[in-house]
Amino acid sequence: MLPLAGDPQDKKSDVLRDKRGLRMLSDRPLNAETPVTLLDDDFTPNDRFFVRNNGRVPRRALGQELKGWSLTIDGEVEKELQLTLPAIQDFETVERALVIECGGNGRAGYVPQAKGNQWTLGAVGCAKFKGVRLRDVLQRAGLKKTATYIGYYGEDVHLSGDTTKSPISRGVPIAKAMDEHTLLAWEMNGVPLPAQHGFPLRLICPGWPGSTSGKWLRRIWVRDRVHDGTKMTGQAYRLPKRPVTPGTKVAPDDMAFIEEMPVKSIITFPGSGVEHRKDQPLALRGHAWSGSGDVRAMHVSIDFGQTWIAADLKPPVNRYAWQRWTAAVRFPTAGSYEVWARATDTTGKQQPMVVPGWNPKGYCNNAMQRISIQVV
Amino acid sequence: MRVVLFMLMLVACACADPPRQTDAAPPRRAEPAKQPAKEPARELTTETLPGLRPGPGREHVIGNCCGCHSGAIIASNRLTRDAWNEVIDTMQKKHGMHALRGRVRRAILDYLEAVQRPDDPGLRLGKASPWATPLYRPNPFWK
Repeated sequence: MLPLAGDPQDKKSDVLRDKRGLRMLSDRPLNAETPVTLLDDDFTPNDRFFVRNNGRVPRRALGQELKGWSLTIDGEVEKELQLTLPAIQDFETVERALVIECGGNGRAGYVPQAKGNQWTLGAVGCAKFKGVRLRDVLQRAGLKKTATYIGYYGEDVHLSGDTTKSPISRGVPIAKAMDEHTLLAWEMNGVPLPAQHGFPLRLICPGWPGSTSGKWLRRIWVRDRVHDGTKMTGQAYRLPKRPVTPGTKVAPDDMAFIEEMPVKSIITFPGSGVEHRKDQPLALRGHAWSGSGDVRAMHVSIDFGQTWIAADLKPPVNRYAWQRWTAAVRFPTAGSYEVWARATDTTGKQQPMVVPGWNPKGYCNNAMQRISIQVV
Repeated sequence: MRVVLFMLMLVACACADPPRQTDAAPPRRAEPAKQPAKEPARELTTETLPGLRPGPGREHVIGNCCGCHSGAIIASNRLTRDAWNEVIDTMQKKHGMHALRGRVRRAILDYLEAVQRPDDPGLRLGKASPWATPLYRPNPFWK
């Protein structure tokens, strides 16, 4: 039950040498988000990428040791596969910049408080990943007609040390698994996956909650029914089917899985609270993304949403990457202002001005970001 | 026995980090910075994690809960007594937590009800992550 002596995860100081400036929410398990001003890069470097762990990082990952590792594909398949990393790398390689966002990003905004890690804005990042399509691997195994869902299993260890328990074992419907953008990735920003990010192989289901993108993979189980692994049951990653008043108890049967994450954006420059001279325009920038993989428009407001200024929004480098936006605003007078940033997705849905409908686990808060500017 | 006591001490130390900021600290927005707000590029350490607040029954939480996960997740959640009770149920049903004697569970719930009760998160958030203010306002329709 107690942590093993000498485990590098349990050192009191300097918990992570390879992360800079993140705000840690928990050390056991390790959860840390990125301040938005540190998400300013076009692509999030490894040492700025947020960490969301459910259990203990496997020793293999800490030691970057590949020996003895393989990925099993089994279940509703014609032929069970057991693939080493070189065998996986034999499939057609793709490189994609992909957003991974925690389903609970923004949870801290819900009132009354929702259970779980109190992420604010920084449980999101967009890095360059290299891998293969899960689809190609599943086609090699041959899906039976009964194939309905996948469930992943990883090498991470349950916090209690009980090896019969998974810290997390989620999955997605077979259609999402077979989508051409769903990847098995081994490289992040040009280097093998860091220990915290799933060495040696992780799943990436773009646009869906980060918990569907399993780390430290050992097995993909193709199932004939909805996967029921850890964090697939109860209220986990579900939203109420009908809107509820804040604080309502909702039965799991009245809830449905989150699939595509809603449209969202962040202001990465300037930081909130800066002073700005009135005679110059203020240059703003940030990123926008959505679970459907494309953002149509970006606007900012300096008058609490009364009027909106269109930002310049770049297309994504590939689908499911985030999109850079820039804007320049002029202030009519000196004084204390707020700048609001609002993204619109390709169906016309905008980010809400306030925290959206309360849900028991505090998922999918995609309210607009607001920063304060002191104009002098 | 000595080994057990030593291990308990280690666990107690892991959960006993003092809170970084107190409720007496003034809101950051009252004094806007002259320089552009810049995040210090600190190394991650456990010193900045919220620790379990003082209160009767705290030692029961440390002894029964912090064997697996740190106190930070407890200190960052503010729930009703009923909701905390459900959390303990979930720990026992899904995550292998041991059974609790009635008076121990009551002591844990008394502690959590006293120091981890619902409050206004808008006031607290600015201290925990100043770069996220003025993002969140309390929901005015919360009854």
